[in-house]
Amino acid sequence: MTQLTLRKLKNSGMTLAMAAATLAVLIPLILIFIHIVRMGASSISLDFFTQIPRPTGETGGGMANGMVGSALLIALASAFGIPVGIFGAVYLAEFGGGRLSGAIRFSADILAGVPSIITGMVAYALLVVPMKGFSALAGACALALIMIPIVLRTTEEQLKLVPTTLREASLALGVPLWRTTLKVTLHSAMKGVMTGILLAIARISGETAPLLFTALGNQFWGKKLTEPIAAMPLQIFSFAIAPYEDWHRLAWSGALVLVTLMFTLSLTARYLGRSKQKN
Amino acid sequence: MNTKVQLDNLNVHFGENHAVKNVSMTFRENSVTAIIGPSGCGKSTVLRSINRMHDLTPDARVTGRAFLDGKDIYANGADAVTIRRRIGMVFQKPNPFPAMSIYDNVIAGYRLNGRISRDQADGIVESSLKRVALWDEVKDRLRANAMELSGGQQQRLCIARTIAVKPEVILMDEPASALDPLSTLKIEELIEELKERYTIIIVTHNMQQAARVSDVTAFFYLGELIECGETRKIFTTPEKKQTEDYITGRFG
Repeated sequence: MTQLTLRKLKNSGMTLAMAAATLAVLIPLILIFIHIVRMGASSISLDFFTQIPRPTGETGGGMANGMVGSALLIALASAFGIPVGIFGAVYLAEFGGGRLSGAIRFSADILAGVPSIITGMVAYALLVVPMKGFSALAGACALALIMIPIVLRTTEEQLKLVPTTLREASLALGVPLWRTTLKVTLHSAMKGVMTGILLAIARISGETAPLLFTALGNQFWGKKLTEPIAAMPLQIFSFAIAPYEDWHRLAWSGALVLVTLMFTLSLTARYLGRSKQKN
Repeated sequence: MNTKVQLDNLNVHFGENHAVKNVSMTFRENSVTAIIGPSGCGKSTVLRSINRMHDLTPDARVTGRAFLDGKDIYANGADAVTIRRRIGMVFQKPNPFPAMSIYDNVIAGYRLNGRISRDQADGIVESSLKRVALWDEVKDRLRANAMELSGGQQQRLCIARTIAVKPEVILMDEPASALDPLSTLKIEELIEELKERYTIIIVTHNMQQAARVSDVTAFFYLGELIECGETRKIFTTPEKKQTEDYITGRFG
Protein backbone atom coordinates (compact mmCIF):
# COMPACT_ATOMS: atom_id res chain seq x y z
CA MET A 1 0.00 0.00 0.00
CA THR A 2 1.40 3.38 -0.90
CA GLN A 3 1.52 6.20 1.58
CA LEU A 4 -1.09 8.13 -0.33
CA THR A 5 -3.73 5.42 -0.20
CA LEU A 6 -2.95 4.83 3.44
CA ARG A 7 -3.49 8.50 4.19
CA LYS A 8 -6.72 8.56 2.23
CA LEU A 9 -7.89 5.49 4.08
CA LYS A 10 -7.13 7.10 7.40
CA ASN A 11 -8.98 10.20 6.27
CA SER A 12 -12.10 8.22 5.37
CA GLY A 13 -11.88 6.28 8.62
CA MET A 14 -11.74 9.44 10.72
CA THR A 15 -14.52 11.12 8.74
CA LEU A 16 -16.69 8.09 9.38
CA ALA A 17 -15.88 8.11 13.08
CA MET A 18 -16.84 11.74 13.35
CA ALA A 19 -20.05 11.24 11.42
CA ALA A 20 -20.89 8.40 13.81
CA ALA A 21 -20.22 10.63 16.80
CA THR A 22 -22.49 13.29 15.35
CA LEU A 23 -25.23 10.72 14.90
CA ALA A 24 -24.73 9.51 18.45
CA VAL A 25 -25.48 13.05 19.60
CA LEU A 26 -28.45 13.52 17.30
CA ILE A 27 -30.19 10.17 17.59
CA PRO A 28 -31.07 10.30 21.31
CA LEU A 29 -32.52 13.79 20.88
CA ILE A 30 -34.61 12.70 17.94
CA LEU A 31 -35.70 9.52 19.73
CA ILE A 32 -36.70 11.47 22.83
CA PHE A 33 -38.69 13.91 20.78
CA ILE A 34 -40.44 11.24 18.70
CA HIS A 35 -41.27 9.22 21.77
CA ILE A 36 -42.67 12.19 23.67
CA VAL A 37 -44.74 13.27 20.71
CA ARG A 38 -46.11 9.71 20.24
CA MET A 39 -47.00 9.32 23.90
CA GLY A 40 -48.10 12.86 24.62
CA ALA A 41 -49.75 14.26 21.53
CA SER A 42 -52.94 12.23 21.91
CA SER A 43 -53.89 13.83 25.23
CA ILE A 44 -53.17 17.37 24.15
CA SER A 45 -56.53 19.07 23.93
CA LEU A 46 -58.11 22.30 24.99
CA ASP A 47 -58.88 20.68 28.34
CA PHE A 48 -55.22 20.00 28.89
CA PHE A 49 -54.49 23.72 28.83
CA THR A 50 -57.60 24.91 30.70
CA GLN A 51 -58.48 22.24 33.28
CA ILE A 52 -56.82 21.29 36.53
CA PRO A 53 -56.20 17.61 37.32
CA ARG A 54 -59.36 15.62 38.10
CA PRO A 55 -59.61 13.53 41.26
CA THR A 56 -58.45 9.96 40.88
CA GLY A 57 -60.96 7.78 39.10
CA GLU A 58 -62.31 10.52 36.88
CA THR A 59 -60.90 10.78 33.40
CA GLY A 60 -59.82 13.94 31.63
CA GLY A 61 -58.48 17.02 33.28
CA GLY A 62 -55.39 18.99 32.43
CA MET A 63 -52.38 20.76 33.75
CA ALA A 64 -53.51 24.35 33.57
CA ASN A 65 -52.54 25.00 37.19
CA GLY A 66 -49.08 23.57 36.56
CA MET A 67 -48.55 25.76 33.53
CA VAL A 68 -49.69 28.90 35.27
CA GLY A 69 -47.66 27.91 38.33
CA SER A 70 -44.55 27.35 36.26
CA ALA A 71 -45.03 30.65 34.47
CA LEU A 72 -45.41 32.40 37.80
CA LEU A 73 -42.36 30.69 39.30
CA ILE A 74 -40.27 31.54 36.26
CA ALA A 75 -41.45 35.15 36.29
CA LEU A 76 -40.69 35.53 39.99
CA ALA A 77 -37.34 33.77 39.72
CA SER A 78 -36.46 36.05 36.78
CA ALA A 79 -37.49 39.11 38.76
CA PHE A 80 -35.05 38.10 41.51
CA GLY A 81 -32.33 36.46 39.47
CA ILE A 82 -31.93 38.57 36.33
CA PRO A 83 -31.24 41.92 38.03
CA VAL A 84 -28.79 40.34 40.45
CA GLY A 85 -27.05 38.50 37.62
CA ILE A 86 -26.83 41.56 35.39
CA PHE A 87 -25.75 43.98 38.09
CA GLY A 88 -23.18 41.50 39.32
CA ALA A 89 -21.85 41.10 35.80
CA VAL A 90 -21.67 44.86 35.28
CA TYR A 91 -19.67 45.12 38.48
CA LEU A 92 -17.30 42.36 37.39
CA ALA A 93 -16.81 43.58 33.85
CA GLU A 94 -16.82 47.34 34.32
CA PHE A 95 -15.89 48.24 37.87
CA GLY A 96 -14.38 45.13 39.36
CA GLY A 97 -10.84 43.99 39.58
CA GLY A 98 -8.86 42.46 42.32
CA ARG A 99 -9.74 39.86 44.90
CA LEU A 100 -13.44 40.54 45.33
CA SER A 101 -14.10 39.99 41.62
CA GLY A 102 -12.12 36.80 41.67
CA ALA A 103 -14.13 35.61 44.64
CA ILE A 104 -17.44 36.47 42.98
CA ARG A 105 -16.48 34.71 39.76
CA PHE A 106 -15.33 31.66 41.64
CA SER A 107 -18.51 31.52 43.72
CA ALA A 108 -20.65 31.89 40.61
CA ASP A 109 -18.86 29.02 38.94
CA ILE A 110 -19.26 26.83 42.01
CA LEU A 111 -22.90 27.86 42.37
CA ALA A 112 -23.50 26.91 38.74
CA GLY A 113 -22.09 23.47 39.46
CA VAL A 114 -24.04 22.82 42.67
CA PRO A 115 -26.58 20.01 42.11
CA SER A 116 -30.01 21.61 41.96
CA ILE A 117 -31.39 19.35 44.67
CA ILE A 118 -28.94 20.95 47.08
CA THR A 119 -30.10 24.40 46.04
CA GLY A 120 -33.61 23.17 46.90
CA MET A 121 -32.46 21.93 50.31
CA VAL A 122 -30.83 25.26 51.07
CA ALA A 123 -33.99 27.12 50.10
CA TYR A 124 -35.91 24.71 52.31
CA ALA A 125 -33.69 25.38 55.29
CA LEU A 126 -33.51 29.15 54.79
CA LEU A 127 -37.03 29.92 53.62
CA VAL A 128 -39.49 27.08 54.04
CA VAL A 129 -38.60 26.30 57.66
CA PRO A 130 -38.65 29.91 58.94
CA MET A 131 -41.80 30.66 56.93
CA LYS A 132 -43.36 27.54 58.34
CA GLY A 133 -44.64 26.22 55.05
CA PHE A 134 -43.93 25.41 51.45
CA SER A 135 -44.50 28.33 49.15
CA ALA A 136 -44.25 29.65 45.61
CA LEU A 137 -41.90 32.30 46.97
CA ALA A 138 -39.43 29.73 48.26
CA GLY A 139 -39.61 27.89 44.93
CA ALA A 140 -38.91 31.06 43.00
CA CYS A 141 -35.92 31.84 45.22
CA ALA A 142 -34.47 28.39 44.65
CA LEU A 143 -34.87 28.83 40.89
CA ALA A 144 -33.40 32.33 41.07
CA LEU A 145 -30.31 30.89 42.75
CA ILE A 146 -29.89 28.62 39.75
CA MET A 147 -30.38 31.50 37.30
CA ILE A 148 -27.96 33.96 38.87
CA PRO A 149 -24.67 32.30 37.93
CA ILE A 150 -25.85 31.60 34.38
CA VAL A 151 -26.99 35.18 33.78
CA LEU A 152 -23.95 36.58 35.58
CA ARG A 153 -21.35 34.71 33.62
CA THR A 154 -22.94 35.07 30.17
CA THR A 155 -23.56 38.78 30.74
CA GLU A 156 -20.01 39.30 31.90
CA GLU A 157 -18.66 37.58 28.80
CA GLN A 158 -20.89 39.71 26.58
CA LEU A 159 -19.84 42.93 28.29
CA LYS A 160 -16.20 42.04 27.83
CA LEU A 161 -16.81 41.68 24.10
CA VAL A 162 -17.92 45.31 23.82
CA PRO A 163 -14.90 47.16 22.40
CA THR A 164 -13.19 49.62 24.75
CA THR A 165 -13.26 52.20 21.96
CA LEU A 166 -17.05 52.46 22.33
CA ARG A 167 -16.84 53.15 26.04
CA GLU A 168 -14.14 55.73 25.37
CA ALA A 169 -16.22 57.36 22.64
CA SER A 170 -19.00 57.90 25.12
CA LEU A 171 -16.77 58.99 28.00
CA ALA A 172 -14.95 61.46 25.78
CA LEU A 173 -18.29 63.13 25.08
CA GLY A 174 -18.57 63.90 28.76
CA VAL A 175 -21.02 61.12 29.52
CA PRO A 176 -20.58 59.86 33.10
CA LEU A 177 -19.35 56.32 33.57
CA TRP A 178 -22.63 55.01 34.92
CA ARG A 179 -24.58 56.35 31.96
CA THR A 180 -21.96 55.01 29.59
CA THR A 181 -22.22 51.60 31.20
CA LEU A 182 -25.99 51.60 31.02
CA LYS A 183 -26.62 53.20 27.66
CA VAL A 184 -23.59 52.21 25.65
CA THR A 185 -21.90 49.15 27.08
CA LEU A 186 -24.90 47.22 28.34
CA HIS A 187 -26.98 48.39 25.40
CA SER A 188 -24.42 47.08 22.91
CA ALA A 189 -24.31 43.75 24.69
CA MET A 190 -28.10 43.46 24.97
CA LYS A 191 -28.63 40.69 22.44
CA GLY A 192 -26.02 38.51 24.03
CA VAL A 193 -27.45 39.24 27.46
CA MET A 194 -30.92 38.26 26.23
CA THR A 195 -29.48 35.00 24.92
CA GLY A 196 -28.07 34.27 28.35
CA ILE A 197 -31.38 35.09 30.01
CA LEU A 198 -33.32 32.81 27.65
CA LEU A 199 -30.91 29.96 28.28
CA ALA A 200 -31.26 30.49 32.02
CA ILE A 201 -35.05 30.42 31.72
CA ALA A 202 -34.89 27.28 29.60
CA ARG A 203 -32.73 25.73 32.27
CA ILE A 204 -35.01 26.54 35.21
CA SER A 205 -38.26 25.77 33.42
CA GLY A 206 -37.42 22.09 33.61
CA GLU A 207 -35.91 22.03 37.10
CA THR A 208 -37.77 19.64 39.37
CA ALA A 209 -35.51 18.88 42.29
CA PRO A 210 -35.31 22.37 43.81
CA LEU A 211 -39.10 22.65 43.70
CA LEU A 212 -39.68 19.41 45.57
CA PHE A 213 -38.98 20.95 48.98
CA THR A 214 -39.99 24.49 48.20
CA ALA A 215 -42.98 24.97 45.89
CA LEU A 216 -44.05 21.40 46.72
CA GLY A 217 -46.78 21.24 44.07
CA ASN A 218 -50.51 21.68 44.33
CA GLN A 219 -53.43 19.75 42.85
CA PHE A 220 -55.47 22.91 42.68
CA TRP A 221 -54.94 26.54 41.77
CA GLY A 222 -52.53 28.23 44.16
CA LYS A 223 -54.07 31.32 45.65
CA LYS A 224 -51.16 33.03 47.35
CA LEU A 225 -47.44 33.23 46.84
CA THR A 226 -47.01 32.00 50.40
CA GLU A 227 -48.82 28.74 49.60
CA PRO A 228 -47.60 25.69 47.74
CA ILE A 229 -47.96 26.07 44.01
CA ALA A 230 -48.18 23.62 41.13
CA ALA A 231 -45.41 23.47 38.53
CA MET A 232 -45.15 21.47 35.34
CA PRO A 233 -42.06 19.45 36.20
CA LEU A 234 -43.53 18.56 39.60
CA GLN A 235 -46.81 17.51 38.02
CA ILE A 236 -45.03 15.42 35.45
CA PHE A 237 -43.08 13.75 38.22
CA SER A 238 -46.06 12.97 40.46
CA PHE A 239 -48.29 11.88 37.57
CA ALA A 240 -45.64 9.69 36.05
CA ILE A 241 -45.12 7.71 39.27
CA ALA A 242 -48.85 7.43 39.98
CA PRO A 243 -50.52 4.09 39.20
CA TYR A 244 -53.14 5.49 36.82
CA GLU A 245 -53.02 5.11 33.09
CA ASP A 246 -54.80 8.42 32.61
CA TRP A 247 -52.26 10.35 34.67
CA HIS A 248 -49.43 8.78 32.76
CA ARG A 249 -50.89 10.17 29.57
CA LEU A 250 -51.14 13.62 31.15
CA ALA A 251 -47.52 13.35 32.27
CA TRP A 252 -46.47 12.62 28.69
CA SER A 253 -48.44 15.59 27.41
CA GLY A 254 -46.83 17.76 30.06
CA ALA A 255 -43.43 16.53 28.95
CA LEU A 256 -44.29 17.40 25.36
CA VAL A 257 -45.32 20.93 26.30
CA LEU A 258 -42.19 21.43 28.39
CA VAL A 259 -39.85 20.11 25.70
CA THR A 260 -41.54 22.30 23.09
CA LEU A 261 -41.08 25.31 25.33
CA MET A 262 -37.39 24.59 25.81
CA PHE A 263 -36.96 23.98 22.12
CA THR A 264 -38.51 27.36 21.36
CA LEU A 265 -36.38 29.13 23.95
CA SER A 266 -33.20 27.55 22.69
CA LEU A 267 -34.03 28.35 19.09
CA THR A 268 -34.81 31.96 19.98
CA ALA A 269 -31.55 32.19 21.90
CA ARG A 270 -29.68 30.81 18.91
CA TYR A 271 -31.42 33.18 16.55
CA LEU A 272 -30.51 36.14 18.73
CA GLY A 273 -26.93 34.93 18.97
CA ARG A 274 -26.68 34.63 15.22
CA SER A 275 -28.25 37.95 14.33
CA LYS A 276 -25.74 39.56 16.66
CA GLN A 277 -22.78 38.20 14.74
CA LYS A 278 -23.94 39.91 11.57
CA ASN A 279 -23.53 43.36 13.08
CA MET B 1 -1.88 84.33 22.26
CA ASN B 2 -3.44 82.84 25.36
CA THR B 3 -2.44 79.60 26.93
CA LYS B 4 -5.35 77.17 26.94
CA VAL B 5 -3.81 74.04 28.36
CA GLN B 6 -0.69 73.76 30.41
CA LEU B 7 1.16 70.73 31.69
CA ASP B 8 3.34 71.13 34.73
CA ASN B 9 5.71 68.34 35.62
CA LEU B 10 3.29 65.71 34.39
CA ASN B 11 4.18 62.07 35.04
CA VAL B 12 2.20 58.99 34.07
CA HIS B 13 2.93 55.53 35.41
CA PHE B 14 1.33 52.28 34.35
CA GLY B 15 2.22 49.97 37.18
CA GLU B 16 6.02 49.83 37.09
CA ASN B 17 6.24 51.48 33.70
CA HIS B 18 7.07 55.18 33.83
CA ALA B 19 5.46 56.17 30.53
CA VAL B 20 5.60 59.95 30.69
CA LYS B 21 8.39 61.73 32.51
CA ASN B 22 8.28 65.28 33.90
CA VAL B 23 6.55 66.88 30.97
CA SER B 24 5.96 70.62 31.16
CA MET B 25 4.58 72.48 28.17
CA THR B 26 1.83 74.85 27.09
CA PHE B 27 -0.79 74.65 24.37
CA ARG B 28 -1.96 77.89 22.78
CA GLU B 29 -5.57 78.77 22.31
CA ASN B 30 -6.94 78.56 18.75
CA SER B 31 -3.90 76.89 17.36
CA VAL B 32 -2.87 73.39 16.40
CA THR B 33 -0.18 71.68 18.41
CA ALA B 34 1.22 68.46 17.01
CA ILE B 35 2.83 65.83 19.20
CA ILE B 36 5.25 63.66 17.28
CA GLY B 37 7.65 60.90 18.16
CA PRO B 38 8.32 57.20 17.58
CA SER B 39 5.95 54.47 18.77
CA GLY B 40 5.88 54.04 22.51
CA CYS B 41 7.29 57.49 23.24
CA GLY B 42 4.29 58.40 25.39
CA LYS B 43 2.62 60.84 23.02
CA SER B 44 -0.83 59.23 23.20
CA THR B 45 -0.42 58.83 26.94
CA VAL B 46 0.19 62.56 27.31
CA LEU B 47 -2.81 63.31 25.14
CA ARG B 48 -5.10 61.04 27.13
CA SER B 49 -4.02 62.58 30.40
CA ILE B 50 -5.37 65.95 29.23
CA ASN B 51 -8.99 64.75 29.38
CA ARG B 52 -8.42 62.27 32.21
CA MET B 53 -8.96 59.18 30.09
CA HIS B 54 -6.51 57.33 32.31
CA ASP B 55 -8.98 57.51 35.19
CA LEU B 56 -10.43 54.21 34.04
CA THR B 57 -7.20 52.30 33.69
CA PRO B 58 -6.81 50.61 37.06
CA ASP B 59 -3.02 50.64 37.25
CA ALA B 60 -2.49 54.08 35.70
CA ARG B 61 -1.21 56.84 37.98
CA VAL B 62 -0.98 60.47 36.92
CA THR B 63 1.07 62.89 39.00
CA GLY B 64 2.00 66.50 38.47
CA ARG B 65 -0.47 69.05 37.26
CA ALA B 66 -2.41 69.85 34.14
CA PHE B 67 -4.28 73.12 33.73
CA LEU B 68 -7.23 74.07 31.61
CA ASP B 69 -7.67 77.84 31.61
CA GLY B 70 -5.47 77.97 34.66
CA LYS B 71 -7.48 75.45 36.68
CA ASP B 72 -5.87 72.16 37.66
CA ILE B 73 -7.88 69.33 36.09
CA TYR B 74 -6.38 66.85 38.53
CA ALA B 75 -7.17 68.96 41.60
CA ASN B 76 -9.35 67.49 44.33
CA GLY B 77 -12.89 68.28 43.43
CA ALA B 78 -12.19 68.68 39.72
CA ASP B 79 -14.77 66.56 37.93
CA ALA B 80 -13.57 64.38 35.06
CA VAL B 81 -16.97 64.43 33.35
CA THR B 82 -17.12 68.23 33.30
CA ILE B 83 -13.58 68.35 32.00
CA ARG B 84 -14.35 65.89 29.21
CA ARG B 85 -17.28 68.04 28.13
CA ARG B 86 -14.83 70.89 27.64
CA ILE B 87 -12.07 68.73 26.14
CA GLY B 88 -13.36 66.47 23.38
CA MET B 89 -11.46 63.62 21.80
CA VAL B 90 -11.18 61.99 18.41
CA PHE B 91 -9.67 58.54 18.33
CA GLN B 92 -7.31 56.72 16.04
CA LYS B 93 -9.87 54.30 14.68
CA PRO B 94 -13.19 55.85 13.76
CA ASN B 95 -15.54 54.71 16.52
CA PRO B 96 -19.11 55.71 15.73
CA PHE B 97 -21.72 53.97 17.88
CA PRO B 98 -22.50 50.96 15.70
CA ALA B 99 -26.14 50.55 16.66
CA MET B 100 -26.97 54.19 15.94
CA SER B 101 -27.87 56.15 12.83
CA ILE B 102 -25.74 58.98 11.49
CA TYR B 103 -28.13 61.46 13.09
CA ASP B 104 -28.10 59.71 16.46
CA ASN B 105 -24.33 59.53 16.45
CA VAL B 106 -23.96 63.28 16.03
CA ILE B 107 -26.43 63.99 18.80
CA ALA B 108 -25.17 61.16 21.03
CA GLY B 109 -23.42 63.49 23.48
CA TYR B 110 -26.79 65.04 24.30
CA ARG B 111 -28.96 61.95 24.10
CA LEU B 112 -26.71 59.87 26.32
CA ASN B 113 -26.77 62.66 28.87
CA GLY B 114 -30.51 63.16 28.85
CA ARG B 115 -33.21 64.57 26.67
CA ILE B 116 -33.01 67.23 24.03
CA SER B 117 -35.81 68.78 22.01
CA ARG B 118 -36.27 67.68 18.44
CA ASP B 119 -35.78 71.14 16.94
CA GLN B 120 -32.64 71.76 18.92
CA ALA B 121 -31.27 68.38 17.91
CA ASP B 122 -32.00 68.98 14.23
CA GLY B 123 -30.12 72.26 14.37
CA ILE B 124 -27.10 70.80 16.14
CA VAL B 125 -26.90 67.84 13.78
CA GLU B 126 -27.03 70.03 10.70
CA SER B 127 -24.51 72.61 11.86
CA SER B 128 -22.09 69.96 13.18
CA LEU B 129 -22.23 67.94 9.99
CA LYS B 130 -21.79 71.08 7.91
CA ARG B 131 -18.77 72.08 9.88
CA VAL B 132 -17.06 68.77 9.12
CA ALA B 133 -18.15 69.00 5.46
CA LEU B 134 -20.18 65.84 5.71
CA TRP B 135 -23.63 67.36 5.43
CA ASP B 136 -23.90 67.23 1.64
CA GLU B 137 -22.79 63.61 1.57
CA VAL B 138 -25.26 62.34 4.18
CA LYS B 139 -28.17 64.79 4.36
CA ASP B 140 -30.45 62.41 2.47
CA ARG B 141 -29.70 59.44 4.67
CA LEU B 142 -29.37 60.76 8.18
CA ARG B 143 -31.31 57.74 9.43
CA ALA B 144 -28.93 55.25 7.83
CA ASN B 145 -26.66 53.28 10.10
CA ALA B 146 -23.38 55.03 10.75
CA MET B 147 -21.42 51.92 9.86
CA GLU B 148 -22.52 52.25 6.22
CA LEU B 149 -20.22 55.25 5.81
CA SER B 150 -16.67 54.90 4.55
CA GLY B 151 -13.80 55.06 7.04
CA GLY B 152 -13.04 58.68 6.21
CA GLN B 153 -16.68 59.66 6.51
CA GLN B 154 -16.93 57.81 9.81
CA GLN B 155 -14.00 59.76 11.16
CA ARG B 156 -15.56 63.06 10.10
CA LEU B 157 -18.76 61.87 11.74
CA CYS B 158 -16.81 61.27 14.94
CA ILE B 159 -15.40 64.79 14.72
CA ALA B 160 -18.93 66.12 14.19
CA ARG B 161 -20.05 64.17 17.25
CA THR B 162 -17.21 65.73 19.23
CA ILE B 163 -17.86 69.33 18.19
CA ALA B 164 -21.62 68.90 18.63
CA VAL B 165 -21.18 69.12 22.39
CA LYS B 166 -19.26 72.39 21.94
CA PRO B 167 -15.93 71.59 23.54
CA GLU B 168 -13.15 74.15 23.84
CA VAL B 169 -10.27 71.80 23.18
CA ILE B 170 -10.18 68.85 20.77
CA LEU B 171 -7.67 66.08 21.30
CA MET B 172 -6.91 63.99 18.24
CA ASP B 173 -5.10 60.70 18.59
CA GLU B 174 -3.70 59.91 15.14
CA PRO B 175 -7.06 60.73 13.57
CA ALA B 176 -6.00 59.93 10.02
CA SER B 177 -3.71 56.96 10.50
CA ALA B 178 -6.45 54.46 9.58
CA LEU B 179 -7.55 56.43 6.51
CA ASP B 180 -6.63 56.59 2.85
CA PRO B 181 -4.72 59.64 1.49
CA LEU B 182 -7.80 61.46 0.19
CA SER B 183 -9.69 61.09 3.44
CA THR B 184 -6.55 62.16 5.27
CA LEU B 185 -6.41 65.31 3.19
CA LYS B 186 -10.01 66.11 4.08
CA ILE B 187 -9.33 65.65 7.78
CA GLU B 188 -6.30 67.90 7.54
CA GLU B 189 -8.30 70.63 5.80
CA LEU B 190 -10.87 70.26 8.49
CA ILE B 191 -8.29 70.71 11.25
CA GLU B 192 -7.19 73.92 9.58
CA GLU B 193 -10.76 75.24 9.74
CA LEU B 194 -11.51 73.96 13.23
CA LYS B 195 -8.64 75.81 14.84
CA GLU B 196 -10.51 79.07 14.40
CA ARG B 197 -12.91 77.95 17.09
CA TYR B 198 -11.06 75.29 19.02
CA THR B 199 -7.71 74.55 20.52
CA ILE B 200 -6.45 71.43 18.81
CA ILE B 201 -3.86 68.98 20.06
CA ILE B 202 -3.02 66.25 17.59
CA VAL B 203 -0.84 63.20 18.01
CA THR B 204 0.54 61.96 14.74
CA HIS B 205 2.95 59.43 13.42
CA ASN B 206 3.19 61.24 10.20
CA MET B 207 5.76 64.04 10.23
CA GLN B 208 4.57 65.57 6.99
CA GLN B 209 1.15 65.78 8.52
CA ALA B 210 2.52 67.55 11.59
CA ALA B 211 4.35 69.97 9.32
CA ARG B 212 1.22 70.61 7.24
CA VAL B 213 -1.38 71.12 9.94
CA SER B 214 0.31 72.39 13.07
CA ASP B 215 1.50 75.73 14.37
CA VAL B 216 3.54 74.25 17.17
CA THR B 217 5.24 70.86 17.29
CA ALA B 218 6.40 68.91 20.30
CA PHE B 219 8.79 66.02 19.90
CA PHE B 220 8.65 63.20 22.44
CA TYR B 221 11.13 60.42 22.90
CA LEU B 222 11.06 57.65 25.53
CA GLY B 223 8.45 59.45 27.59
CA GLU B 224 10.25 62.76 27.67
CA LEU B 225 9.54 66.01 25.91
CA ILE B 226 12.70 66.60 23.91
CA GLU B 227 11.81 69.79 22.13
CA CYS B 228 8.82 72.01 21.59
CA GLY B 229 8.57 75.04 19.35
CA GLU B 230 7.13 76.65 16.26
CA THR B 231 6.54 73.92 13.69
CA ARG B 232 8.57 75.66 11.01
CA LYS B 233 11.52 75.94 13.36
CA ILE B 234 11.31 72.35 14.57
CA PHE B 235 11.32 71.07 11.01
CA THR B 236 14.05 73.36 9.69
CA THR B 237 16.38 74.23 12.51
CA PRO B 238 15.75 71.98 15.50
CA GLU B 239 17.89 72.66 18.52
CA LYS B 240 18.34 69.10 19.71
CA LYS B 241 20.24 66.40 17.91
CA GLN B 242 17.55 63.77 18.66
CA THR B 243 14.87 65.91 17.06
CA GLU B 244 16.95 66.38 13.96
CA ASP B 245 17.70 62.68 13.73
CA TYR B 246 14.03 61.83 14.03
CA ILE B 247 12.68 64.33 11.53
CA THR B 248 15.33 63.47 9.00
CA GLY B 249 14.35 59.82 9.31
CA ARG B 250 17.49 58.51 10.93
CA PHE B 251 15.42 56.61 13.50
CA GLY B 252 11.86 56.06 14.58
